[in-house]
Amino acid sequence: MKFIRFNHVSFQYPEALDEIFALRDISFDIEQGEFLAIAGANSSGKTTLGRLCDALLLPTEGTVLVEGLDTKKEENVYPVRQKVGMIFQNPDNQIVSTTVEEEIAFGLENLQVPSIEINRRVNEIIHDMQLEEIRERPPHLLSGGQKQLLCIASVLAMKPACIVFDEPTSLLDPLNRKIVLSQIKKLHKQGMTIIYITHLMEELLLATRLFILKKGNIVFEGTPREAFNFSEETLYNYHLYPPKLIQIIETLKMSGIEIPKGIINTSELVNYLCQLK
Amino acid sequence: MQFKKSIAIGQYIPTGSFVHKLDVRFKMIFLIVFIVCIFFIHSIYGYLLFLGLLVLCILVSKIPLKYFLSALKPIIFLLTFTTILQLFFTSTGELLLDWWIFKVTIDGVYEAVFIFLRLILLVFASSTLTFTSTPMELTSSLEFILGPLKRVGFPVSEVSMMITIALRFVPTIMEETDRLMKAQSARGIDFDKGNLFQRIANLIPIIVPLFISALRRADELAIAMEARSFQVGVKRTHIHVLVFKKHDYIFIVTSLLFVILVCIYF
Repeated sequence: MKFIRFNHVSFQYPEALDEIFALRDISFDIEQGEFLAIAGANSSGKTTLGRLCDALLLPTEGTVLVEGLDTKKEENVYPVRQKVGMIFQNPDNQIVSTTVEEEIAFGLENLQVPSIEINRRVNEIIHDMQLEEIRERPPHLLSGGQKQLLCIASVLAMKPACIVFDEPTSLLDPLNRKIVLSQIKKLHKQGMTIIYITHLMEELLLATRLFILKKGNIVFEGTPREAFNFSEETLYNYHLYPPKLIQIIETLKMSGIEIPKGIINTSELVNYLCQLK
Repeated sequence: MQFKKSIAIGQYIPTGSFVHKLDVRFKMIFLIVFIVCIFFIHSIYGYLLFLGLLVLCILVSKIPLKYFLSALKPIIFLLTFTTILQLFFTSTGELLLDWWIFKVTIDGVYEAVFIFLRLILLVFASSTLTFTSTPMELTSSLEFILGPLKRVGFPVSEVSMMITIALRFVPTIMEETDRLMKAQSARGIDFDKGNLFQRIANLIPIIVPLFISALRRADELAIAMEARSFQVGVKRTHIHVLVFKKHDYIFIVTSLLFVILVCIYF
């Protein structure tokens, strides 16, 4: 089932001085339950694309359909925002309330859910995400990872079918990044549609499909595995930093060892090298 | 300079006492009536009765006295200054002491004791409320008390939302100020040296980036709130609903009666 459909979408920020489009004539479909990663340089249009999915921005030309609802129609804006949740880069700037449970309840309060139902759902989410210990805590006493998990929890409380993650791990340390990523992986397994915006090659591997954006155009569409076959030069051109693995493979190739295409992680590389012996 | 620790926002001290469990709206209404009554009392007995009631509340709340004393700290100057002023510069009444320009009269002594007790009662009473209620309780209670103003178009729920967000961001902005001050110190600015004007000038490289980042935060927060279906002017429900209980009624009726009777008779 087509969950989100972009139909010849172009977008221009109204405050932009020149005639530059943030996105140019983009068309694609996202299936229910898909994990789509979006990569690209700064100001390539990644965030704009994410916000178009949530009706936070409306296309200048073309249409965005979420489960068949046109985001341009005013009466569809709030139903669309309920179907599609958003997680931003800086958790500090998206937490509204003074305690964890109030924060999870925030979206539900906006939807005018009765208080008994709010309590039931908040308890459920807190139990599912194991936040019992920090339930009453004010957000400034949480770690970065806990804050981002709280943001995910408060979006989940609204029961969306899709979540757009806009570089959610870029301000986190490696351990917290791992915690947040494993939560996202879990959500995808449970059938959530996920749109994941990132700069990091390693994170692309979680996805089933990958878009690379450049200056408002989709310049690559394929699987993340294919992206790992790009030469270092191509990656730099797409503003992606080659992970250690690709650097190692390149070095091995330079010293005359033949490495086949399609290797994406260390165990695959090690297996191949052992066979050579 | 490290001021993250020195300022406590939301002075809630959980002890789980009876005073904590009372409905916060009642506590707030009671505080308002209590404060108004303080200014109508003109006898020392009235003040002593009020002080007695307050001491009882403080004892029941199980909050150590040192917290109340530290709440007095910011007004200690005001307290001594007004008391001394009343003591030496009241000219009516029987003369008790006459030395140089100072004249102490019996009225002066009374006035000084009154003003002293008045200020202490004010601080202790409002501290009792803030020590025994969470910031969220206070905001929702304020929303309830201001509720009737909705009819004349006053944006009550928006104001309470603003207070909540302000409370939420105080620690965040403090952390940021701390970081900025350290960054400027590392570049050689000494915040404790120089005359008044130099000190003020030193604060400019703190205030400008602080404002810029606060505006950016506001922008991002607005988008994040919109993404979670927040709309200005639309009714919202609440996770915690305040419910009046039997002991709330008993408390409010007896205490209000007591306060008003004291106010009338003394």
